[in-house]
Amino acid sequence: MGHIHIMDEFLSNKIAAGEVVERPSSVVKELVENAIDAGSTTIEVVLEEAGLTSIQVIDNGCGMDEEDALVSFQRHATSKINNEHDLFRIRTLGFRGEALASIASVSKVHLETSNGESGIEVFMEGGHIVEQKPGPLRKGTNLTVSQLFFNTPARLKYMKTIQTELGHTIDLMNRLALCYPDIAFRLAHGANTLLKTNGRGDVRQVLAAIYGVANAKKMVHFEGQTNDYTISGYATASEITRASKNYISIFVNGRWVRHYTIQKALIDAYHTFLPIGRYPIAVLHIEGDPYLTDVNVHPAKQQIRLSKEPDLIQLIETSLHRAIRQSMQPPEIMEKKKKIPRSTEQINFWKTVNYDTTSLPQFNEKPKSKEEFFIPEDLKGQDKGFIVEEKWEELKDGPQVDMIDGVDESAEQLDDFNVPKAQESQHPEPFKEPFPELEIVGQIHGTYIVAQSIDGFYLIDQHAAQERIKYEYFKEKVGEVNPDERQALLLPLTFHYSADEALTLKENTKALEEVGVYLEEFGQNSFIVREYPTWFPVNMESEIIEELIEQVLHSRVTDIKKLRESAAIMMSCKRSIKANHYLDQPQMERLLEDLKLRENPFTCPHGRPVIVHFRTYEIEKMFKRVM
Amino acid sequence: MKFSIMRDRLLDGLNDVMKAVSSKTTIPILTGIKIDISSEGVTLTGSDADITIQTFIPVEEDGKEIVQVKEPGSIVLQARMFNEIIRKLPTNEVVVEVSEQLQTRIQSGKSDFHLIGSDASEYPLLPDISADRQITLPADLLKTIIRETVFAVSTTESRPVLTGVKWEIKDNSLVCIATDSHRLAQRKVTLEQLPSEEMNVVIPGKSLTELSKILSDSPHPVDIFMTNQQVLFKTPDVLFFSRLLEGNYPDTSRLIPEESSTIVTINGKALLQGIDRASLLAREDRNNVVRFSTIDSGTVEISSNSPEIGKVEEEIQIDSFEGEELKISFSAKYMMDALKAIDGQEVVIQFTGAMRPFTIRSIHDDAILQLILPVRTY
Ligand SMILES: Nc1ncnc2c1ncn2[C@@H]1O[C@H](COP(=O)(O)OP(=O)(O)O)[C@@H](O)[C@H]1O
Ligand SMILES: [Mg+2]
Repeated sequence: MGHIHIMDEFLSNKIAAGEVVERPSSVVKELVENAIDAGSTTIEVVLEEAGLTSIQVIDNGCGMDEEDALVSFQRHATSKINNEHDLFRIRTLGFRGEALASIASVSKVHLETSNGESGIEVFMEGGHIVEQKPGPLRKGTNLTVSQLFFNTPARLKYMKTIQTELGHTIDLMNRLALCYPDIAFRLAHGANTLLKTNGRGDVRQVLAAIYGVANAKKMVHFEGQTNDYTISGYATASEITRASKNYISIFVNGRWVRHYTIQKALIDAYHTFLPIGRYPIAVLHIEGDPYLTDVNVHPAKQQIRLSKEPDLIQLIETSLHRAIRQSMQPPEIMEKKKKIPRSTEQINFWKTVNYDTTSLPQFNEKPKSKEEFFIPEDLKGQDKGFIVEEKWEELKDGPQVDMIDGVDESAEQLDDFNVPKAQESQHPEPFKEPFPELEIVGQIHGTYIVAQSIDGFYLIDQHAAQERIKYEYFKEKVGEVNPDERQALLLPLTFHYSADEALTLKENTKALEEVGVYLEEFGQNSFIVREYPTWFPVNMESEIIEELIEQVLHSRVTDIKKLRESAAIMMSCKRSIKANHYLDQPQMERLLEDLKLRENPFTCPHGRPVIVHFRTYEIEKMFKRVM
Repeated sequence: MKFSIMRDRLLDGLNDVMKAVSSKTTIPILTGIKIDISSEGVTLTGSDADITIQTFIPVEEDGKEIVQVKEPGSIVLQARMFNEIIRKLPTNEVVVEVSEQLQTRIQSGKSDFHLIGSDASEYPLLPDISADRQITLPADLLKTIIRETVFAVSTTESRPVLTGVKWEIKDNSLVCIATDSHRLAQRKVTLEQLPSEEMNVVIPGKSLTELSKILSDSPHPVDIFMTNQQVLFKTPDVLFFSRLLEGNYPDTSRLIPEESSTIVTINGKALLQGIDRASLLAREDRNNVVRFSTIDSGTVEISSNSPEIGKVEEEIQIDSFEGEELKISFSAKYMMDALKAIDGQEVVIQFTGAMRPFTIRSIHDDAILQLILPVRTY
């Protein structure tokens, strides 16, 4: 007897720590979320050795009084939730009241906090208070966690390299900064500032700080509303893509979440505009009644359940899709680095140059290029401004760039950029970017068509162009063809799947039947198909059926429209002219004529560009006709 | 090694073996042709690993001297190059001489080529085929059998075994079957001498197509030998080896309907032409579907209707009709392939309703059967 006893509190904290505190970035997450909950407007995070040596979080929030400061380290100590009813109306990030207790149990903590009236300083080790004394009166909290996992060597052993751990924290801070554009964040590793935002509430400026001005500029804004949710976000147009979905951030009521279906809706919004295996950079803010969002799924609070999800998904997909469509333009060849002229003399030269006499007559430069090089009055001749500009160019994707100064000024310049904004457009109909009037010059390498227009020349990838034409053709045909006209097979096609895949398939036979594919169960986890719709090209039936089944299995697409779309993509690719195929003038003209009539003539169904524009101005620059 | 040869005869031989040489092979030596000289004559060998063709040019043919052997030996020469050189030589007499270092000299009239050959000992050996499983067919019959079946093989690799023609020797006959699952072609031949045991092989369609290009239209016998991996077709001057396809060929015997509810006898040529015309308006992206409807037991209406293209109707007289009236749709292409494969004017088509496979036979000869799967409309 006497073996059962109430678990020692320190022990239970250490166990809880295993759930909540996995690595330095989880500590940063909890501390920064507390700072956010405390109403801070500036939050600074300083790490030593990726946080393994120390993590310091300084905020200017409400702070705590002496009593709260001591209680806050007890388990289930929270000021944020009082009764069960509250649990369903969570507005703050923390609510379990176990983070501080858990962190303190596996590290050494130094807390300085003040509500402006009194201040306290507490030192703790492994969850025990070792010293407490009155502290400074600066309102806010300054909490340092050092020697993380000093008393749990097993956990410490699991820590990856400094780079990996730092990567996790940078990723986290990027998301928090995107989530809270009105809080000024700073993340430093030793003396290096890794991220700095201005807290002015503009998501695009935060995007610029993280992904670089060039990318931020190219992102489209989208927004919309259902009865229950309001959404707002930014996403890259199709020419800027990433190989991983990690550049997609989804926030629900100010909380970064991972949500497969929402992420998928964002990707699906691109339809065929994304190359295979490429993903956009995107941020999406979703606001809705906390009652509809169930966050109490896991202590790390990253999973979320949403009520009335289908409407929301639909809204996300359509509003982003519309915004992307509106921004569609052929990609342009630009010089990589737009250098701003460094001397006033050159600026004057720009303003007086006479384009009409320096250019070829048929390549008349429009005066608008002067605007492209318009330099704000206040920056003229000021070296500072130019340096700032160059820094921005270097930012690219890497958040590891030092950008201590000048961030704010540069971010403001964003206002000058002409960014496509979906909601600003006055077009009542889906906007259609006009296809340039092209005069064919010839074909090169049996692969590309060269054409010119008043504003430069264009290269058209003939295979991609035809894929686009065929794709739109098939998409329409596939929609109108009768799925009830089917070629019978003497020997049925057989398909084998794993047990869970077979289960999913059985649940989704209806969707496949709508496109004319009738699966019959045939023994353990196998299916047979005895006939196929006549719109499947001969000899491709088994490939197409397999692909359609893949769609159902792996992206859980059960929407006929999408199944038909993927069948159309496959068919268009198979039936298009390949590279290295000579086309005569009338054939090229016909191709361009057909292309022009397409809904989206600028990308092939796989999202690769069909047409590339070489601007007269850029060509002149290459030949130093202009400087 | 040294010999002289009549250019035109050499070209004939090269023409045959070149059919087996592929530029896409991954085995470099197979881009060459092996030349073996013995006191009896010249042996040429070409191969792409799937098919191997060997031809023999004797020293003397029909009392004419064709080859003069000065010194026996072997060499492998780049096939395409050698063939082109021989074709373009200025006179009909060619002297080929290999010195040490595989240096090969080709002389004709005033032109003098020096080629670097490859060591003949690196060339793969011919498959070893013993004589016990053998049948013999006249060359022209063999050609016909191939023509009647090979078009129906599958052209996709999704079921590799269907890209071949099944040859089954059983109960004193040879049955050849090809199907791509959309249609099936079957040809029966009664054999005079039977092999020692039953045989069942699947010969790649491509091999048979190449073989029929080499065969003459004469009744000269072709000896056919089979092992589990290889088949050899042997004529007096050509050996044609082909790899066999592995895998179980599906049992098609139970798929061929035995009863029918509608039997139509019709002029095959007229039907072929009618379907050919109707298919002009059938959409390619819908497998060229045409409709076949019997009217008052006396005529057949062939029609095609694509809303965006237009429509066509054509009536063809039926010779005899038995059973129920019928409307059925099928791919024009499969029907035309089948009708082309059946020689002879009158064909008998047996249907079992609009949803079931139907068969086409010649009225004179039931050795050949074509089966087509319909397009079902619901
Ligand atoms: N930076 C801070 N500023 C003000 N109060 C804080 C801060 N950090 C923690 N607290 C107080 O400590 C309590 C416990 O924090 P925590 O253990 O993270 O639990 P939770 O955030 O789930 O409530 C909070 O409810 C809050 O009252
Ligand atoms: Mg908390």
